Amino acid sequence: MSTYRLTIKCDNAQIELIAKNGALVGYEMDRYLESFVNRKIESAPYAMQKSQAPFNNQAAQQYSAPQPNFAPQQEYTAHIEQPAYNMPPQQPQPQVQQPQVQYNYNQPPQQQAAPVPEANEIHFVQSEPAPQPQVQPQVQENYTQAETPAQNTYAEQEAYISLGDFLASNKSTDVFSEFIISAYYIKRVLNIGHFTLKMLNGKFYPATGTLIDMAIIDEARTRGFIESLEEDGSLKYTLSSAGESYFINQLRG
Amino acid sequence: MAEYVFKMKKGEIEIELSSDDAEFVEQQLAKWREEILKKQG
Repeated sequence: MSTYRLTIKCDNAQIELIAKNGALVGYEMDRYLESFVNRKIESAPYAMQKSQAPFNNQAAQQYSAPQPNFAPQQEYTAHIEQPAYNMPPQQPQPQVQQPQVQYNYNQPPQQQAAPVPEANEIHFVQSEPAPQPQVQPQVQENYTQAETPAQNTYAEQEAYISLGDFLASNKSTDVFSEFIISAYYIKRVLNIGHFTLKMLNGKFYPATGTLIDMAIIDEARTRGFIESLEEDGSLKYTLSSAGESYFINQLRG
Repeated sequence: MAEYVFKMKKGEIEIELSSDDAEFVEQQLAKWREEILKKQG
């Protein structure tokens, strides 16, 4: 299932929308489109960077100094296409029979998001006013690495990712698969060797709205996906090698 | 799985869309480009 992420930064505020529903993200983008296009930049012409110049044509025309001789549309087109040039080459993907989604941007987001409300998360982040680093770790970077269960695939570059994001970016079809993904998240992303059921549900419930019960634990243990041990008087669990292989081969997005 | 990103920046506003749905990103990019070029014209 595809994941959609929309980030809007303005001054020192940042809004981040992560969803499995493309129509919701499209609807939110449409809301910002008009204000983005019509927005005027208040900075002085001399202070503009060249990449910002096409956005400020009106201010540039009012300035009497010699104007650079460039075609605004060409300059701007090059600017907005730059991310496309940086895209990783698209891998030939097998033709999976997926239902064609017709995005209807005219419907309100509540109706669009209804089928998978637990999959959508909106983060409001108050960031520092200092310049933010432009480099953000990307989820797909580690996907090219060898798929060995023992390898710490996500830990270093994706420690920031929430369980909700992690579930959304993998193939969680039911509570059991969500449990296996969560166990992998705890072991490989959070680098926590063993977890208790209480600790797991402390992370699982906010992300999914449901709880893991002993039936799920027993099924995973029966299938050899988790191992349990008693430590400090409490029962703790960890994802086994078989569980990691199951995640990598069956559940990883 | 490939991920597609396009980022737009204007003054202090920055909008970034990323998804592994190439068609969706392409649709959004085309829409934004059309709207902005229309405004420029």
